[in-house]
Amino acid sequence: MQRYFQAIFSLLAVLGAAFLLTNAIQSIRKNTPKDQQVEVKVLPPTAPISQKTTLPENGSAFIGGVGIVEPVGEATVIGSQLSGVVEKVFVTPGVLVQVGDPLLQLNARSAMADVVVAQAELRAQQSKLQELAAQVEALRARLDAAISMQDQATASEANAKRENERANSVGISNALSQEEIDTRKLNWETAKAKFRESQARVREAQASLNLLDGKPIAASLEVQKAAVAQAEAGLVRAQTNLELRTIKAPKAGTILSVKIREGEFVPASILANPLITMGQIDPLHVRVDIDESEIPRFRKDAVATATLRGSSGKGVQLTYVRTEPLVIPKRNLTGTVAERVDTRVMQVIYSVSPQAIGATVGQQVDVYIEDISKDR
Amino acid sequence: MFSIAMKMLFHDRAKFVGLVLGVAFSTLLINQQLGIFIGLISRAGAVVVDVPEADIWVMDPGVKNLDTIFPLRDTELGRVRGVPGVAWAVPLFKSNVTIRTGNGELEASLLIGVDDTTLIGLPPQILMGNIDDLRRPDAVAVSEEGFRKVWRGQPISLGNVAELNDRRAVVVAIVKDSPKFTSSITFFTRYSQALQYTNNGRNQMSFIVAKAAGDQTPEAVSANITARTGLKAMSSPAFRWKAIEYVIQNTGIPISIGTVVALGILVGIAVVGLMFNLFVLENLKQFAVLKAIGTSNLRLIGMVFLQAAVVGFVGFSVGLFGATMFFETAGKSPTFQGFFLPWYVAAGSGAVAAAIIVLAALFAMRRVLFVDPAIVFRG
Repeated sequence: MQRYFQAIFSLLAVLGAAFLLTNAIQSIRKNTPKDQQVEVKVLPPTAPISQKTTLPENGSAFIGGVGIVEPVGEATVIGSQLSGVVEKVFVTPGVLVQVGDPLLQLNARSAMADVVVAQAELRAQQSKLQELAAQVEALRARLDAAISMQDQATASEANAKRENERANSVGISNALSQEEIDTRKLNWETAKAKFRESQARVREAQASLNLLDGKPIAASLEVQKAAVAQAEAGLVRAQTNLELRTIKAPKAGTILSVKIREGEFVPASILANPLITMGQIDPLHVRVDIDESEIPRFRKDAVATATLRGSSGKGVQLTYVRTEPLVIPKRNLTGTVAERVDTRVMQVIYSVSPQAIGATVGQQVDVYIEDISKDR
Repeated sequence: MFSIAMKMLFHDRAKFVGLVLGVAFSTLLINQQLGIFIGLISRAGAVVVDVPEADIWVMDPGVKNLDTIFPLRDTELGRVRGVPGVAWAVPLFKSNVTIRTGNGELEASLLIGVDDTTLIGLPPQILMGNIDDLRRPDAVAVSEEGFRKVWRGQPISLGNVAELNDRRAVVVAIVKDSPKFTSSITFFTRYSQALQYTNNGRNQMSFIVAKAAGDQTPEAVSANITARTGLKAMSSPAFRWKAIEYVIQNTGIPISIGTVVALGILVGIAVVGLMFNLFVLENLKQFAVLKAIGTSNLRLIGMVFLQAAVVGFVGFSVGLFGATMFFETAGKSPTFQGFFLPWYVAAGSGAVAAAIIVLAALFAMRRVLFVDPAIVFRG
């Protein structure tokens, strides 16, 4: 009995131990965390693979940069030369406009009144000019009268002179009294003075006529003509002021944003939030920021590819346009309100068709530019 | 002959149980303590584990662990993307933020900002909610354990609103992440959103995580990145190890746990060695009889070793089972996540148990070999 019990105990001990051990091993297996190999669900922007295969491994380096989609020649921000209250907004975002199409109408009532005043002033000055021209005939008549008076005086003077000479000649002098001789002499003197007076009157009449009808310059007339021109200029100025209250498109393009509404006040200054932004969006330009440390590796004939944020896979090939000659501090475009400056970047402009890239202005794209600097 | 050895062993059950418990206790101590140790130090690299998609981490050259971060310039992302061999690279934001819990208390929490487009950096295991909802405004995902801490006593649900640095954060998903060393609350959100939550400086990008292209090894690509950008790039395992090494070198954890393990081994050797010696001494008469009837020394040694092996096997099994039961039951507690018994610790403790047994057997064997058969007759 004792022997059996001992045998059973020993068997149980060993078997029980084996059971516990397998249990323990299973528990270890179960609780050991698996090394997880997780594949990426959405592939981040990657260097274009298709081009990688065409290049040998040693040369397949890329310059990565962030690009921003912009209109050709950047966006035009429309401002106003005059301040005023907006009466009408003619455009909405997305509308295509031609050169000279009206965009905004400011309230123009005071400008219109100025035009009317200027027109009245012009009319007044013109009438004055006509009035002056009408005076020429009267002055001519006065001149003629003066000339005929002069002729009379000339005749009188000649007569008086002859009478005087006759009185003084020998033979006759005894026939006349001294008084008569003196009278004749004085008469001659008087006639001479009268002649001079008539001469002066002719000159006076001539001068008066010359002011209005002189050759080559009629001074009074010129003064009035200048006044008319001045009034005309004043009218043009008033009309220009009126025209400036309609803001027109400076070039053909698409309206990108309208940040002004009827009834709002427009200041005549540079605004942080432009009233209207417009630009040419076909083709689009992509402005790529290249870090200053990558500039030596950049070549303008390298293939550049852009990938949209939020989309994955193959990118869109870009066409080189130009490199901005000025390296500028980076305007960080991470989407935060505060724009930060941390490094300098060279900006390279590429062109792309909007259909191919499927992006709109202002969107950020990841751009890969082949590093072909080693090939040279 | 070996059945006689077994009979000898199981004859005195109290002593047998004592021997087994000695080995079992030693094994239990070693396994439990080393399991906790490994679980604990693994937490130092937990953030790396939670980004299984990436195999390269790029950081400031001065970074030594995952908690002390010097942010990178945003342009570095473009530079890293341009390095040959990099399949892709995305930013990863990591920062500590203070959060007000449901009952008004403050808790430290970790904020991870993952790439906006791909959401790379989010733990792969989603417990509740749709991960694409993270693209909504003010959306965050929170770890299960974090949810329990922030909204104490509430059932796990979506739509709860928390406050992160004065900003609204709506829980749209519950994820399962690796437990962290410092904080058990982890919020995940988009990179851009994370910047909004913490807007605290010019440079914001904590890390860049990248993937080596095609057949290139992460190590080679990392070296490439370091050479071309001057930043430190490491493969995920290497970075994880670096973080763990930092904990090992800078905390008392290895010393305290190492002491307990050493004590376990010492107790095992002392208890088992003494008891086994006592056991052999008690059965010296039987060995003498066997020797008297002509059993060879080699066979006697075999008998002693068999006895020792059985004791070791049973003791080790009991001890290991005890240790696994500890991790099983304790693992059910939410604060004890991430602890497990690695197989290599179990195997190592087996080797230690074997060593204890062999030492004890060698010690006892001396007496068996030199026993004088005549003692049988001396009474």
